[in-house]
Amino acid sequence: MKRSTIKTARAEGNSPASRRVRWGAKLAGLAVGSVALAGCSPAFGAYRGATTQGRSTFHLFQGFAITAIFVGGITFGLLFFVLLRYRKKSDAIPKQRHSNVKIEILYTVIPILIVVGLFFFTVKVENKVDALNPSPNVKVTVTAFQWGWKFYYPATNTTVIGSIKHYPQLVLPEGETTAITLVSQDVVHGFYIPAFNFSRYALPGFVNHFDFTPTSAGTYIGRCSQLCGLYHSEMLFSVKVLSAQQFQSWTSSQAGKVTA
Amino acid sequence: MTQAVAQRVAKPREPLRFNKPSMLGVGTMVWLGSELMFFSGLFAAYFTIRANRTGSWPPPGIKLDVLQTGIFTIILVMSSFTMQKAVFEAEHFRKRSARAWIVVTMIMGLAFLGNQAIEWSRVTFSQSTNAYGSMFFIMTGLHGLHVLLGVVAMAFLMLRLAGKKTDPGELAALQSVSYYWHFVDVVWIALYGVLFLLH
Amino acid sequence: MTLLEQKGEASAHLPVEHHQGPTGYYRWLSSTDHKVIGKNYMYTSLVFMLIAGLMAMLIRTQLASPNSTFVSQQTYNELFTIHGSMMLYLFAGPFAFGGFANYLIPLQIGAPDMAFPRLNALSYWLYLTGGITMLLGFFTASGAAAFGWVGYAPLSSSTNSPGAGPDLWIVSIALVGFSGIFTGVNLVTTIFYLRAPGMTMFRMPIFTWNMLVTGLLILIAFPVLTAALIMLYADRHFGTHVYSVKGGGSPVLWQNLFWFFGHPEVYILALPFFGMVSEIFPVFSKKPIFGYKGLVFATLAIAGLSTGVWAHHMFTTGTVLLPFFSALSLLIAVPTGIKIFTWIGTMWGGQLDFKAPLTWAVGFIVAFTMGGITGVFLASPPIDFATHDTYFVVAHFHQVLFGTTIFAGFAGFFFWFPKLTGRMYREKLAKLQFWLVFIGFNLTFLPQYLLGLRGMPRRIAVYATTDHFTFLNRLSTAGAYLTAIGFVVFLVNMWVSWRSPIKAPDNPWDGHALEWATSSPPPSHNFHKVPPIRSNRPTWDMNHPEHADGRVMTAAELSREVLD
Ligand code: HEA
Ligand code: HEA
Ligand code: CUA
Ligand SMILES: [Cu+2]
Repeated sequence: MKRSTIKTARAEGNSPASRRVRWGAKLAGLAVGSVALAGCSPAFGAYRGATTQGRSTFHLFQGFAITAIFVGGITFGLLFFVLLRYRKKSDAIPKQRHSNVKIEILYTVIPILIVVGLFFFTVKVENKVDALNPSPNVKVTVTAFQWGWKFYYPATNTTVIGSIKHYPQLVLPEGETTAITLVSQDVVHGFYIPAFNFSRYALPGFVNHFDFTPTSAGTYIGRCSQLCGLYHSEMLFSVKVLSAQQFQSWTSSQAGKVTA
Repeated sequence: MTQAVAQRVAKPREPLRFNKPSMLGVGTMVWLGSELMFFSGLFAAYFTIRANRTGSWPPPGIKLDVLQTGIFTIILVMSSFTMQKAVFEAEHFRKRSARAWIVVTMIMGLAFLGNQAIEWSRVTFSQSTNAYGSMFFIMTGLHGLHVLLGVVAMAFLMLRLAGKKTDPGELAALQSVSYYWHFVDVVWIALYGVLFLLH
Repeated sequence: MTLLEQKGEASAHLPVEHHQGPTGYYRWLSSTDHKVIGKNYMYTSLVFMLIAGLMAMLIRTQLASPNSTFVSQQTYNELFTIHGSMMLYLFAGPFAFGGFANYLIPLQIGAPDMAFPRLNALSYWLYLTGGITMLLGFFTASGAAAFGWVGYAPLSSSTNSPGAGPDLWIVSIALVGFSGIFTGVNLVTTIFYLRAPGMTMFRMPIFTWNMLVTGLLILIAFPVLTAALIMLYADRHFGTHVYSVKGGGSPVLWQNLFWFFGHPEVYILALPFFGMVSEIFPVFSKKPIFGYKGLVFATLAIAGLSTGVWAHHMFTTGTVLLPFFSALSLLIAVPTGIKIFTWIGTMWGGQLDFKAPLTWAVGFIVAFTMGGITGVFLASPPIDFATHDTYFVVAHFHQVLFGTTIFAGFAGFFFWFPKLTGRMYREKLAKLQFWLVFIGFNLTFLPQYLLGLRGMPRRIAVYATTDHFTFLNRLSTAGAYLTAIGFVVFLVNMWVSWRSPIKAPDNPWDGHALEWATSSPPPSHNFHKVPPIRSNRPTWDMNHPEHADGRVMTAAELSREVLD
């Protein structure tokens, strides 16, 4: 009696042909779905990036999101299939399968390929985001302290200092490259501009350099992302991206000034 | 640990050997692995700070008596041999001799600690002079603590070896302390190298 | 010992914990029996989990509205610091490694006890002392530590965080660390040394394998944390300059040392729970584990890789080699994926019996896969620049941590509850708890991904109305409350099984590993007789000779094995 039930179980569950068809359909559906999604370029909740650097990051994020939906889709597809298909039906003991080398190789190799692909694009974007322009249009030194920011424009000797009562504003030109030098006076802070898809630590005793090339004028919020003590949540600033022309007149009007 | 892990081979007067390391020995080895990581953490800190330096290394104003501590380094290294000798003697049922060698080892360990105390009181810098000073005191201090613990462990061993009868448990304990002692010794050689010799 | 012996015998009929006088409790507390210590660990850590969970409720209440003044900013910082520290140091690790491993490893490998029973007891007491020490921080004048569970220098220095609270935090973690190291030494030695005859390494249950690897990881990671903590303490009190810029120290050094511990730590927290579900899926599918060797090697690969990825927590410092740490971090997806597919493969073609342990284990796969995949996002430095220290990260690590410690943890808890106590839990309540927690959990943490992407940093006590974070935060808070109701159901479940016990059979699930071959709860010396071990599921082999994995033995062989 037991024998026969085992046999039927095998006949139903493991018909390789029907399995392959189902698999193929699922894969194709997912691939089509993700291509369609990529076509209309959904943001998946992220900022599209208001700098050229942030834009590249956003595209990378999209790529990761689509891959994630694909990988998640397959994994959850398999999982829910198993959960529904192999609900307990009888007390029969199913076939005692210990391994299947082919399938094991498959689920080792495919993730490796995916990961290699992700790494390839990661490095490409990383090089773009971290690239330093040897001759930037503007230079700003950003100093973080408990609990505020100081922005210093060496070219015009302009200083803007903020506090928790009064958030300072970082002014940047649109379409030009600003080189930021980031330092901290006390503890670790995080210089974070969500709309730029970027953050970097302000470390005591260590100087960080990076570039922004804003692509769209507007005002954006900036925050301290790394816990830095009591008023960490109020260590805000804003970023104003002006057209190159407006920026020019702003700098000349601010030359030599210290705004607190 | 008195689990029956030892099998005495044939005649009782042949040296006491084990067909596999004692459980306490295995445990000690595993634990020493974690100790290795502990000191690796300290060395990592030392080398990070060294890599961050702006001037020479060690920083100006740091003077150490390389020769004197070198001599005590040799004494500590030799104490590893005396400890091993104690194990050897115990394996051959010469317990009195084993005890004597342990005492010799303890004296050498204490001599090393004595030198360290003198050195600490003599050096011209303190733990807050600069980061080198900090690492010097932290590393030699934590190592010294390990030496001290080793000596204390040996004191307990002396009590355990006090009786006439020999049980495999006490030999396992002796061996384990000797593993530990060798470890402390090797760590010191590395410490001496980076703190006293590295420029 | 004698009393414990009797207790073991007696409990074959009735669990006796509640029928003992004060001396019984004293015996209980002074016991060196791994089963008693294991249970102590489990119950203590569950209490810590509930306390830390209550702190999470306060956190969520604060965040439910903009500009909230429910708690002060200082209190808020203390709350998440201690919430994170308790969950990781006092709950997740000790629950699995102090609790389950201690209880189950000797049973699974057929040993009478741990290698060093007294050291084991010492571990527990260090742990309990450390736990209480951490909580004492709240009663100091300056309040508890408020620099996050990662204690970054120089925020954790004596100038930026003065007072006794931070010191208590340091001491507490050092104590718990020693406890973990001692348990690690104990478990590794036990597994190397005390396996029953026939229990070769490749016949060990996956749970035991995972605990072995976890033990090794603990021995690699925790001592480095101890060293880092000692130096932090010296900086705070003895005027050293290890982490301060002034004097030539390096603040980033702390981050490197901490994460060299911290990343393996997250796998120290995950692997034991992977081990638990690796026991559960086969039993409730009535099949052997699929791809046993692959699982073992995946575990080893995860452990190996996890010691080389720490700087993915430091991408935005600008001080680390991005491609190297990114590549290794991405690669961890591969062995972890192997595990996920192995579990699915185990269920494939099985007879899935959706008892509470299996339900919870499936919940684990769902939560963990989502959290793992978003971890892959974070492993890409540019994406991490955009999401570092935001709620995206908070969502990632709660999905993996909650997935492992709570979903897999409760799967394991219900699975072994009959073995631990000799009683059955209430199936319906366990299922109800599952659905409340599962829905509550997703409602809590899925919105947090969006919050992170919209730019909400973590560890902020207040946000403004104009940030438009309110709605998603409310969803998250509602989810947390729902989860809490789930845990109330759990407490009810425990209360009911305590007051009106249902006796559990020795092997209620048709289990596979050796622990199911002894009584529930086991006698103090664990086994009256150990069945022959011919495969990685000896109990199954014994109960299903016609489907046995190991060589089928002749009756004569069998009786010989059983007799000695
Ligand atoms: C149980 C704990 C746990 C686990 C298992 C993980 C798993 C992973 N984590 Fe996570 N992580 C934490 C706990 C954990 N993490 C914590 C607590 C923090 C925050 C600390 C703090 O700052 O407070 C953190 C933070 C964190 C960061 C830093 C973020 C930041 O601060 O900016 C990063 C970056 O790389 C990261 C990456 C990963 C990766 C790549 C994995 C991988 O191991 C995940 C692998 C799993 C899968 C990928 C899913 C299953 C696989 C498949 C279905 C196969 C196919 C998949 C692909 C090919 C993609 N984690
Ligand atoms: C295993 C780990 C774990 C677990 C399970 C949880 C569980 C939860 N966590 Fe936590 N969390 C962390 C680990 C964990 N967390 C870590 C490491 C951090 C980072 C800290 C840092 O930034 O430094 C963090 C940070 C963190 C934050 C971010 C704070 C910030 O950055 O500002 C938030 C916010 O929502 C949060 C929420 C929650 C919630 C709602 C739960 C809930 O799901 C909890 C559910 C449990 C309950 C609701 C308990 C129910 C209680 C009872 C029923 C009463 C029982 C009564 C008795 C005591 C007897 N956690
Ligand atoms: Cu500065 Cu947070
Ligand atoms: Cu990590």
